Amino acid sequence: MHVILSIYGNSKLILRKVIDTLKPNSHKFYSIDEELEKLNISDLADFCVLHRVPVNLMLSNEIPELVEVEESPDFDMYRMVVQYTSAELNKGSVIYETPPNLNQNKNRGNFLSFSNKICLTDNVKNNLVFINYSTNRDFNSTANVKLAIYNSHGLTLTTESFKVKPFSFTAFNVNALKLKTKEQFLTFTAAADGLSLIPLSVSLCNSNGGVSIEHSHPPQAYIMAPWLVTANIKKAAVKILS
Amino acid sequence: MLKFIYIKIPLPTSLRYWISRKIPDHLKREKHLKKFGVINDLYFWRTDNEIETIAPIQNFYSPLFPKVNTKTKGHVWIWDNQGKLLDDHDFLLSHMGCYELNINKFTPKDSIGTFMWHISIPDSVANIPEVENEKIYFTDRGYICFLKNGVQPIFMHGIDRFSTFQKQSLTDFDLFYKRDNNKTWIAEFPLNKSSEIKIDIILINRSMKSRNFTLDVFKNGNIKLFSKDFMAPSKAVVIFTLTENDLSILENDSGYFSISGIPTPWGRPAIMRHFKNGAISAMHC
Repeated sequence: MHVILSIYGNSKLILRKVIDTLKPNSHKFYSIDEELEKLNISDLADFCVLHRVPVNLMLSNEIPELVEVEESPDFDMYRMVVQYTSAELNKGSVIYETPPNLNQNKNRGNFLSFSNKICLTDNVKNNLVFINYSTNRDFNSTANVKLAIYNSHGLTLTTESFKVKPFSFTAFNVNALKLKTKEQFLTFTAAADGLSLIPLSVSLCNSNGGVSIEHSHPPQAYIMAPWLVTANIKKAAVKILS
Repeated sequence: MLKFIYIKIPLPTSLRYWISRKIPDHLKREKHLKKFGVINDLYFWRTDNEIETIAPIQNFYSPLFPKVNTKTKGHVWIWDNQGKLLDDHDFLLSHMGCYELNINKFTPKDSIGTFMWHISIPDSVANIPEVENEKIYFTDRGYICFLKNGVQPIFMHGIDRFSTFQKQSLTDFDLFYKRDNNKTWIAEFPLNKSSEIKIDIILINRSMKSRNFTLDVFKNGNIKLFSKDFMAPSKAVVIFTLTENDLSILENDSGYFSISGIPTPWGRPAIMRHFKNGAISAMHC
């Protein structure tokens, strides 16, 4: 399996490169920092994607413009482990899926995320991370996200708006809001119309360098119903929350 | 007829997919999923290693139905690792609200066990015609927090399904899975000799019988390094710890692990990593 690194800067593809060929029954971490240093583009790069391409679809190390397959491969899940390391060498990791048709069509789809993964203490920096990616190389949509944060009584503590550029991400620092609350755990909703985003929550603990990272499930993971019913519930919610 | 063809006759994948789309969703479901209701997971708690387990239980109906008032009530069950109920209680949730459940208040120190919560479908949601007509089952994909030394939070979500609550029932439930499986899960997470002092491999037995599991640790290339067997009582959690010594056998190579004997389809393991300076991290596999 070829391991390919796509490197983006300012929403543009800078470089796409085969960095390894992984043998069967092998699991390995690749250091993105080291790869960028080797290529001397650490200053330009702000977003990277790692791809796994079976060798039978790409016979040499030359990356084709397009690989056509007769039938869409029937994978159960499209998942990869991502790990972040703090200065103290503590590590936090997560596994999540990037759907194969993510943001394929312009102005289609919508985004709704909700979770409780905000823990307000003096020692912890809470980042809500939103990734704007597409499997369509011509994708160029910026996401307009509306974020609301609630206390345990359901009161809205703040609403914020921000953008997420294509082939990029926004890390929203919750602590910077200096919310006036004595509660430790808060919840949020985030919504955007016209495209999908990948939501992650990253917590960094200043006192021990601990890293926590977890993804959030999309609304469809909460609803067992015919697809159209689920899509309509989500669409109506996004209209109000975005 | 389509259902019979789909189940009994071996067909090309594309034709199976076409037929599957033609069969109404609820007809493909098992008998206990043909009304409407809620599906919940079973979570693990731990109070050892200076860890608190906290579930900030979010009213997930509110973001799905922001137009209506989704205030509702919920119930919590906390079991020890022998299946004894340590506590259960009701709680109230306002629209967009959250109930902070600190498990340590109800459990002994230096112990492990399991817990579950259930948020009843709010009246305003149950009254939406689609919920009954389309036989919707809501699946609570809750996130729990492990707080180390009172300062470092780590979050992880539920990974499988355990219970089914019909309609707006608050406390009556039956099992989501009606029969046991025997699954093997190869974790994608690469094992390395790294900066952690130990890695806990954590597994929940969501069946009603005791289960024997096997952990296999491999070096890359399918080279088995060692195996361990362990048992978990029904509805219990088991934690198997890989020490620095266990990981040193990988030398400078990478490896991975698998768990076999898992009774539910998505009952994959979680890992919790403990670092030299006391920090922890966790992920589901």
